[in-house]
Amino acid sequence: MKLFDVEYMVSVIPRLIPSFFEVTLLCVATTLVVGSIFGFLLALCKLGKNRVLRGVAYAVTDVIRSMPFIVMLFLLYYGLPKFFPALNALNKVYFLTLGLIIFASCRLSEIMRSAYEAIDKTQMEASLSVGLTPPQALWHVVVPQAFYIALPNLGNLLVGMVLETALGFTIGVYDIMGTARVINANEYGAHNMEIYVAAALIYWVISLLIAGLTSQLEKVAKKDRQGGGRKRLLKGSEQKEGVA
Amino acid sequence: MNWEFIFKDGLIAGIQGIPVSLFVTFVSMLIALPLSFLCAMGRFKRVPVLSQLITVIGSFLRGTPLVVQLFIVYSGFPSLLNVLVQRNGWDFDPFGISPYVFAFVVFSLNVLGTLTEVFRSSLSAVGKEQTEAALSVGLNHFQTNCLIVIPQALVSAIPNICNEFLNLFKSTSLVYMMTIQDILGKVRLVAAEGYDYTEAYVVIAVIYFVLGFTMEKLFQRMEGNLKTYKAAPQV
Repeated sequence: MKLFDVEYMVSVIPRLIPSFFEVTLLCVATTLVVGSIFGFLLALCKLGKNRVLRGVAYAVTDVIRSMPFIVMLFLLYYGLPKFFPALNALNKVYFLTLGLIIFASCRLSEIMRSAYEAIDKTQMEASLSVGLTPPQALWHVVVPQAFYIALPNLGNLLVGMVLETALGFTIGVYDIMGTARVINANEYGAHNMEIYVAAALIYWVISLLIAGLTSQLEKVAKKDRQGGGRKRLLKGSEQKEGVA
Repeated sequence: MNWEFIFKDGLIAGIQGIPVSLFVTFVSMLIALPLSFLCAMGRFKRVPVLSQLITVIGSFLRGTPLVVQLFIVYSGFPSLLNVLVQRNGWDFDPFGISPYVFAFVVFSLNVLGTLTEVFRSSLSAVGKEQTEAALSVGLNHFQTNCLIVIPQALVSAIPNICNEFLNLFKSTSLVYMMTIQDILGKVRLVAAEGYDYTEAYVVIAVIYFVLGFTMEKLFQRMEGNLKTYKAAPQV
């Protein structure tokens, strides 16, 4: 018996990759799109003036953030068909996506709120005084700066989403981890280590790609940062000019 | 909805499982904290071979799901050890290792990856002028680190450590795959009699919410107390 069959591991990788494109990519893309909408709505509630809405938004975020993902997944998978028996025939991928959307909305609302609050109020005041309407001021001045501040957190969120889809195998979704378990069962557990290490390598490559993409995006968005991303060399003289 | 299950059997079974979860969380955190601090110091001081190794391993631990790491350690290592045992004829049963050992290894490794980054960023946040000032006053490198740099770095790292502790507590819900009976395991066991799985997961969600909320409030109180020792913000 071999200690670690590298050839077998390399041969397993092409069998795991199609499940990534069929399941994981679809789940994460849908989650980002729908989660952004709900996250934006939640962030609006948190930043708004209505105290009831604010309390509800904070309570919902607190409850969902304190639950492990697997508990939420099981709650949706066992709980929803109990109240709506028609959902029993629904494809399991939808339950995984729904769980991911709920999680992503909460985290996105936190990211959006913290990024928005990190921008000085003076930016809004200045743009309003120049003559922009509030929506224009938000879209052209505040949002680009907030986006640059939020980028590292968004990258972390994306990596987290991809890694959390791996838990789908507990409800029977055939993503990378699910396919790996099926292959392992077909081989009667003879190549345990190789199959799971292959799955881990695929996830690692995906997370490295996302990290690279995020840093590239940061370089592109740097010009939207306050100050235009240029280094400031003379701090004192600028202030004196303003006073004079 | 089987309300009787929720308030009687499920809740009691869940509360019985809380010590197991907390035990795994605390021990993994205790193992990971000193190790990750050492790794962060190694990366910060740019030790030649070690820092590259730590970077690669940390990237692997943060970039792979916890489940995959769990299965590599729980399913993979006994098979590996089995091959070695059969080759060398040792008197050792790799399939008899307690699952708690695997749990501690997996969770402490996973937390190690994230905590190394936390400590590295907090060490960089202290600022070089602290080291320069301490060296100019006459302290040697070791004293500088112990008395000046590390206390400030630890204090600025505490919010992140608390956050990571909460995340670890939520991740330990996965130990049921290693046949450890924590909150999930115990409540599911009781729920299997009447197929009350929905009620079981409602109970589990409530327990996790109460525990997570309490821990968050405790951590906020602790961070408030330690705020006096925080380093001055950078200019």
